[in-house]
Amino acid sequence: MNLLTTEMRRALHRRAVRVLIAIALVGCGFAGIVAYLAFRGKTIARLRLDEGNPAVMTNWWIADDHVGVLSVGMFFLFLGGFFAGATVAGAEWRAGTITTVLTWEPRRLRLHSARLTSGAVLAFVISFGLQVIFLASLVPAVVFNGTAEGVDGSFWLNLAVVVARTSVITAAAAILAMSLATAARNTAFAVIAMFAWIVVIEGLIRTLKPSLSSWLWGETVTTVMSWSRLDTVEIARGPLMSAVTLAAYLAVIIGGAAISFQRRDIAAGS
Amino acid sequence: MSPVAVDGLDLTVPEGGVFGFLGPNGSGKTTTIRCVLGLALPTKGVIRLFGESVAEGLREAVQRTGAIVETPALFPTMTARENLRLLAAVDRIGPGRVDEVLAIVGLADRAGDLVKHYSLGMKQRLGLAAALLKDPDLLMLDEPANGLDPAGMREVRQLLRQLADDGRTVFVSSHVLAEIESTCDRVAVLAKGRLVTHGRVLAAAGQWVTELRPDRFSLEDVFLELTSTADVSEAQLEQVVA
Repeated sequence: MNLLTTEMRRALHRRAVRVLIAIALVGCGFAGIVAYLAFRGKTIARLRLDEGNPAVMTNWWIADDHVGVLSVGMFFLFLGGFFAGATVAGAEWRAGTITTVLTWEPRRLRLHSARLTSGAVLAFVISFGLQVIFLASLVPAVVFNGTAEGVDGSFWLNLAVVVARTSVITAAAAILAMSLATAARNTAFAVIAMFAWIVVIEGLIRTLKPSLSSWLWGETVTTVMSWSRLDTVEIARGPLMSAVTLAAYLAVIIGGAAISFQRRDIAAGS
Repeated sequence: MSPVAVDGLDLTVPEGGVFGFLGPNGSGKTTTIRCVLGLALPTKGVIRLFGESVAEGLREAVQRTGAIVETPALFPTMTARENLRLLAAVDRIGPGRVDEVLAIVGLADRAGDLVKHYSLGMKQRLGLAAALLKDPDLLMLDEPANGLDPAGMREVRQLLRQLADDGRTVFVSSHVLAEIESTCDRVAVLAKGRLVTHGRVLAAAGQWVTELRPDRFSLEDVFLELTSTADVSEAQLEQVVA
């Protein structure tokens, strides 16, 4: 537990993490102001005509369509979680602080597990908190300009499930990045490798071999995020199977990184 | 095939006192320390700390060991006190001990400053403070005087002596002979990854005499004779070792 809290404090001290949180908070504030100003003086009927209008509270998440205002932030949270995770793990190698920590806790697997767990917990909590703040920033637009009509228990439940699910995906992105950065011992590798894989390799596979699309990270993550089968994929997988696929991919990468961390020397300038 | 960093090193460090680990740059000092601390895994051989095999009881051994490996790496955006408290939390060491070690290394007045504003010498002292946090039985210090000015070097020397006089074992690696000569009770000399010689350093009649080579009157003489030879051949080294 000590190690876990220590690792969390270390992660929160990373400048990149703080900057990313600050950017997200500014974004939330900006979204709230825009939502409030943009829909002033409009009738409820007019507001309802705009698809996904945040001043209409039921648009925050439409369970039947698996979309809503919340969808806007999902991608950014995933990216933010990934970048923060890569930075937290990569910077330890660049600064050499990993050596210092290992002279206090030499059991590498234990340390690695504590770091991944702390990263996952932090990413989940921060993602959850940011989504709550984002939604809270839209409340003035709903209260003063819009409507909360149609909001009931099932709406709140669906909303909570979506927020929690997005937070889990953010946590997965963070530990994926931490694992890649640990295996390669730097931040840049994790970011570039992920970018190259998602954009270049998966782009090529999607074009040349569309039948494999359902196995790709992009489709898998999108399916889990929206929790609905994709129409665009030839052989689309359901959300549960996609979640299992995602977990399997993660397990392989986490396992590989753990073995690499356990076996390789912690050499100078590594 | 990767080069051999340390080869056939057979060395016992006695309990108590300051043990100097000498060698030119690239001789394998840091690699040896890394192996002892479990940061690097030797391809073969056995390392024992406090009589127990490191491979089996590393955690217990490390708990009794304070270490600086190369440059002390701490969080630049935290204060010295925050850095030490963060490390202390791993072993549930109280904040009182943090202030104590900051005072020992002479950083009590600057404990609230961010580490990024520290000079190299101050970072070195902070590293030493971190190594002392656990109140260790053994201190393994890799080039602890790096970046220190003459006054700082003297303070560190005095501190190491004091720690040894308190019953701790201090293992110091360095290529600065004056530092080793005036601080250490025993030394080992490493060259090209191999132990060239080891023995006591004695102060006698105002001169430093070593039992390594009694015909030489300073550690520098011995050191230079044994290692100066950047172009020393394997055959020559074999001869020295023999």
